Amino acid sequence: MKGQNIRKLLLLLLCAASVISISSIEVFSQPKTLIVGSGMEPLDLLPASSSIATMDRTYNIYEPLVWLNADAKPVPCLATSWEAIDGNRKWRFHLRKGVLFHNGEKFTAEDVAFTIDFTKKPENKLSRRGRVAGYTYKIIDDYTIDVFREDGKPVDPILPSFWLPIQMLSKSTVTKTTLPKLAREPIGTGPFQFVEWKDGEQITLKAYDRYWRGRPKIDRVIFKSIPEMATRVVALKAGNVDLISEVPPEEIKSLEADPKLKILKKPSLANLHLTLRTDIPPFKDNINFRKAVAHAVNVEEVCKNILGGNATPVGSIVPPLAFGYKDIKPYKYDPNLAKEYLQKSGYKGEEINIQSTVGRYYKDIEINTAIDMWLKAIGMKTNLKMYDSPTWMSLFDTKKIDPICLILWTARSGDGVENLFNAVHSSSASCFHGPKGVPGVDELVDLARTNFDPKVRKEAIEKAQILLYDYVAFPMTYVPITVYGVRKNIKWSPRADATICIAPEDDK
Amino acid sequence: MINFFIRRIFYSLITLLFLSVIVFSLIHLAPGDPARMILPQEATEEDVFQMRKVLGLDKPIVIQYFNWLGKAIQLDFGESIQGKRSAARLFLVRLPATLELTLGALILSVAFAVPLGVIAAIRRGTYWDFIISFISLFGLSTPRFWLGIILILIFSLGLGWFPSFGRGSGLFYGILQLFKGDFGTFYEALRNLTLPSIALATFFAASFVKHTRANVLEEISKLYVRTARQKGIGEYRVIVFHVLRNALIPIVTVIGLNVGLLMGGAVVTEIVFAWPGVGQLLINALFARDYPLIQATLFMGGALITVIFILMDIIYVALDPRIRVKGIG
Repeated sequence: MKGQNIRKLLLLLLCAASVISISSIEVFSQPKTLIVGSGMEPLDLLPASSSIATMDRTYNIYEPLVWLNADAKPVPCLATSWEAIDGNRKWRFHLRKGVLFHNGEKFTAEDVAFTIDFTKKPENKLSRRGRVAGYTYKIIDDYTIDVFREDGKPVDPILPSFWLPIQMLSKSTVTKTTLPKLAREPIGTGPFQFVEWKDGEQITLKAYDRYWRGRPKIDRVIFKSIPEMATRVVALKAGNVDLISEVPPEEIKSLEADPKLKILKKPSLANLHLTLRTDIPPFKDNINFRKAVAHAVNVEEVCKNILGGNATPVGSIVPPLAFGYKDIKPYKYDPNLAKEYLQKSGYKGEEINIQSTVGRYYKDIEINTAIDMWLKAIGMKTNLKMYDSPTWMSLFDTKKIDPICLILWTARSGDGVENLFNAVHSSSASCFHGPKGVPGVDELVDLARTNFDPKVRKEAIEKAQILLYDYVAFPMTYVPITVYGVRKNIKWSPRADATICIAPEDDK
Repeated sequence: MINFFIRRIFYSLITLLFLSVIVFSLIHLAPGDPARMILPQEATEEDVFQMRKVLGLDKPIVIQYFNWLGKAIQLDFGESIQGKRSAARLFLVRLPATLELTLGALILSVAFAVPLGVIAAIRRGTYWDFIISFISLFGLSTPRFWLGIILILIFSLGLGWFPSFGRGSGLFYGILQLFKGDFGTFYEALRNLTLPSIALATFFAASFVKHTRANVLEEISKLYVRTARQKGIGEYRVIVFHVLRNALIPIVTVIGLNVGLLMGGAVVTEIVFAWPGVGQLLINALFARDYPLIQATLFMGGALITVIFILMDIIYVALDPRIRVKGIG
């Protein structure tokens, strides 16, 4: 009798355990379909794009030679290894064997050569054309290719990761198709293959069975276009989507409070910096004036209160995750010191324009309004001007931006020299520091772009950041943290470049 | 009558021609460069020059306009700069969603506004009138954007009655499926359409209530109504068959004029509800300075509204027998 009771109890416990385990599988197992709530619909699905909406999709479909891992370190992808040869005049890429495009065709050096040519052609209107400009190639064998400059000069030491957006195309497929068709129906070697694009609604991808890393466990990824953030948050809470990005600070608490959801954060490779134009008055040859601005603005306040803690104040335009980052403390917020510098600068009350973008950067209006207020508080006469993104880009292009302007650069290659070159090197189209740039920085950037010794490069990049700090060209710098709202049962890691890649390693 | 419609169509064509000139010049005069929007921030002057050349933007604006007009007459609006597809096709693919939303909102607003307007008029000065006026004031002053989010929070997240975003398979497809006996698709399409339609309809319904009330009040005070009542015709018949019939003519005009506004208002609603319509397409095109797509969208949208106005004239004629006899103008 006693034995029977124990058996019944055990049976009951077993039943209870099975019920619990089944329900926990339902709750915590990785779903077969992952739905991403995305802010913008891409305009095309072409490779070598600079649009984040396109990259979110194409980085799951196409692959480059060299990939950046979640922490922005270069790792092999379609190239298994690469080395600089011929006195650093060539990059030799050894390609992965056994890689198949989604249509079953083999990936070889011919495809790499074709991709370079295709990206270079202006009529293909590829955004990242500039990255391959001036480069050519020589096919050594089916799985080896050399890449070098057309003018015979040494190659760029960061080229392998700098070519991350140059995703490999299938020569035989693309030659048979048209650009509009390629823009709508991409064929790559990535973990997911294109299924369908419902205009204005969603893009569906499915797991590629013959993917070289092994078939992803997630069967389908659906990118739904939901332009309004509040709707995206509700869709996540209601269970209509599994993942959303760029969660606003005010929504983080409510999402964290939901037992089915979690918040993931990742510092990005982007860096936002308040740029003072040192090529024109009033900041040209007037370090006291620049210091006055540097001590008048409060970067801690921007990161903590305006951005809700989702940004890190830094003292450099190189993001911390990038190679060569130098940990420098931001300028101290001290309005009294700022007033002293302003007095020393000889400022006579002339009006200075602050240029703000509208919606180009997260909370750009609020941040620029705060900057305007802080500068007025120390006695500067400022005028805040706001422009939409296309107008601002035209002003930026024609070097008509105002003396104070918030600018973002992203070191997509994972190397700090990319930001230094774009923002400060005198030969960069977007340098606002005169024909010779910031004294001493050009030489250091050139060294980091020609020397292959990581130690030398790191030192050069670090020194350049110290020089820039002392020169006070960028009085306020911060690194945004990308915030994602994700369902708890999703195993997924955010990336430093802020793209949403559903890599197979995430679902294991 | 026929002469009127021929004249009406001729004037519409001239309007469209003016519209094309205005749209073309305004877009090209606005700062911003589509070539620059394609290229990344670090692009050089040479990159921008090459891209402008490829896009044909290096030619004088007048030549660009006539090249465009020549093709537009053949309904070829060029290729979208960013989308790399026919601009007209991109517009037409999105049009059913916008029409569906506009139609849904129009039906809802008229269905609620006309009876409420009539009640407010015949019960003038009572609590009914006060409550209806209050509701319509609320509808007029509520921002569509806010209302959309509140509707999603209450009816989608809170009660779970409706989806929070998206169009699903669409009402037109749902109706087709209905003929095949598939009620489920139609029902789902209706569920998707409900919240966006309410959000869009509220403002217009409130406006129609005001117009209906004013017009019914005006008609009620006319002599023919008193005569009809003195002849012993029932109040219901007087209101529905005499007063409303006459009051409807100006109301139809107001509704017709508002169809354009409804389509314009759909832009905000489409964004809140991730509704895949023309509004979203136009906003993206504007931010990218995608000239061919902006031109195609505005021009074809303008043409559509012109056609709607002509249709409104036909309804106007059907409602007013005097016009049928005398003709218009």
